[in-house]
Amino acid sequence: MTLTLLQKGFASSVQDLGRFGFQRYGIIVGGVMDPPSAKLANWLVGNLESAALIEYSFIGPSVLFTEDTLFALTGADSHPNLDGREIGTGRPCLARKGEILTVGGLVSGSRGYLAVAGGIDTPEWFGSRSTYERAGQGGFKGRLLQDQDQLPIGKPSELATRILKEMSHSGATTTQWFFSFRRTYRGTKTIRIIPDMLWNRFSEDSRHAFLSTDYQITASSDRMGYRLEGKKLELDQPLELYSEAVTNGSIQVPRSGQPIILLTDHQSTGGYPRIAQVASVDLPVLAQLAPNSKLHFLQISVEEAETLLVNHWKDLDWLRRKVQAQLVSILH
Amino acid sequence: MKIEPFGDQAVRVIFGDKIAPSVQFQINQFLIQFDRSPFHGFIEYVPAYTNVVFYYNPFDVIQGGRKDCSAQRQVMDYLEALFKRVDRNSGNEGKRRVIHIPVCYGGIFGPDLHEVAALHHLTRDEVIAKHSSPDYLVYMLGFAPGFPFLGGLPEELATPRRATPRLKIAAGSVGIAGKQTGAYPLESPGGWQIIGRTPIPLFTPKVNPPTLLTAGDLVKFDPITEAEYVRLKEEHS
Repeated sequence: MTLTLLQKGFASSVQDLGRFGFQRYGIIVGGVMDPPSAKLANWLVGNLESAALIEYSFIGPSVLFTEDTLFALTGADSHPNLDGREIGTGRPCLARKGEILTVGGLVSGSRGYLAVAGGIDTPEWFGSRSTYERAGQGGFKGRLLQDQDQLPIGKPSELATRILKEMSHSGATTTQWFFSFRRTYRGTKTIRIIPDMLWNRFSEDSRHAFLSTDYQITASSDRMGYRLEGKKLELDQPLELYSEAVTNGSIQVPRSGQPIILLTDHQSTGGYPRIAQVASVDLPVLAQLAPNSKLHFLQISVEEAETLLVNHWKDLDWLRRKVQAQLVSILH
Repeated sequence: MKIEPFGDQAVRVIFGDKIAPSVQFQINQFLIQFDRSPFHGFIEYVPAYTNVVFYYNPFDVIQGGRKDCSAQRQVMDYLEALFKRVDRNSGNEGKRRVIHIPVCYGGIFGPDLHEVAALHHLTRDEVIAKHSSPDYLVYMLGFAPGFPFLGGLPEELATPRRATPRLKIAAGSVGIAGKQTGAYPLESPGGWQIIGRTPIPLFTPKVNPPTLLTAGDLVKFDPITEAEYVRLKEEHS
């Protein structure tokens, strides 16, 4: 089974939850920018949350289904249609053979996800299907998707197969119910941060500016990181720093004084001074913000950040069970 | 040894504040010990010059450990206890793996060899002899898959980066940047002074691990002729 990309959208790629265990060899983790949205898309089509799907930015793809296929869209909102019928996001949808899904421009948020039952079945590279463009590995042929690419689809789960049959019989395209994280991306977004170890080596003015003035996401921002613009940040005195491991959410300050937030496709190591670390719980929201968005940084403790993250995962697990129950209800 | 928080899903274990083979050795010994008994919820570690970051899943750490204590505290306690054990057992500087990397110096493969030689008032052959004599220590990999951060460049070869970076440097290029020397696993842009090229791949995507080098290895550059370069290149393609 395959899926044909008629229009690739923007920066569309095959992703999953990332490639772990190889950063010590200089190999990045990568993966989806907004994991909760990607997981939700997979749950809605009866996949494991780790299944590969398509991530797109700003403009969604148009896709031709070559078989009856159960799919779901999550993440950034758009006005998707299936052969002209509005279908909405956050719900399982049935595409018949030959039908065309048009996702279109994203209206709220920057990244969307298209999951299909069975997952995108490109070969795994070191335990993951995430696209690693720089190394030409993972994903579909190790690159971003292009028009006319034909992506292989894996075998749908038992549950997905039964839902597909049921919806096929009843003539339904989608469900009345849908799931949404109810996030808003408008206005200045508060992003919680934990000061890094070098926090006190930044000047008092810089620390004050960092927490009290807004920083804007510039156009030179991508999956590797967001370059910000705002009050210049400076060290009290220059430091000799050696390269060391950096991670998703590390806020580094190069000589220009304008901070950069590292994101999913960041290199495994870096040598710039870091002022802070974004609380992991806020990374999915950050990943959805577009250039020109304004950020306000709020300092919290590392213990608070951990508690927020653990509770967030507990909420997600509750959501997973809720989605499962809704899917089963389609069969009754 | 010191342990610091690194965000809410990692800690950094610091073994020293200077780049030194003894610090790298200590890191290696610690990681060998750690590999024998990783903690529940551990994801991966990333060694660097003076420290190692341990990534973990806080949810799993708490599930497999104590519910009344933060995951980060539990990970720190675990690593601290492990360090005390390793410290007691640490022996002599053990045997390191020596990886020979054949390099064709100069010519089209090393367009900056001339300039490097001229800058240091050395002949072309003297630069080659000096560059290929040390055993370089791989302190860490980063920047790109399989890119080694090497220590041990003779001081008389230290050369500033090119004023204008090149847009394209071929995979396998061996270069100098300041006090560093290294080899590019992938074609990339860069400002390094390129003095030669190796025909053998540093990034080997079909092999596990997918890189020629690992932190703690020693690297020896062996000068080869253009004919040998071509032969080895064919062997490895």
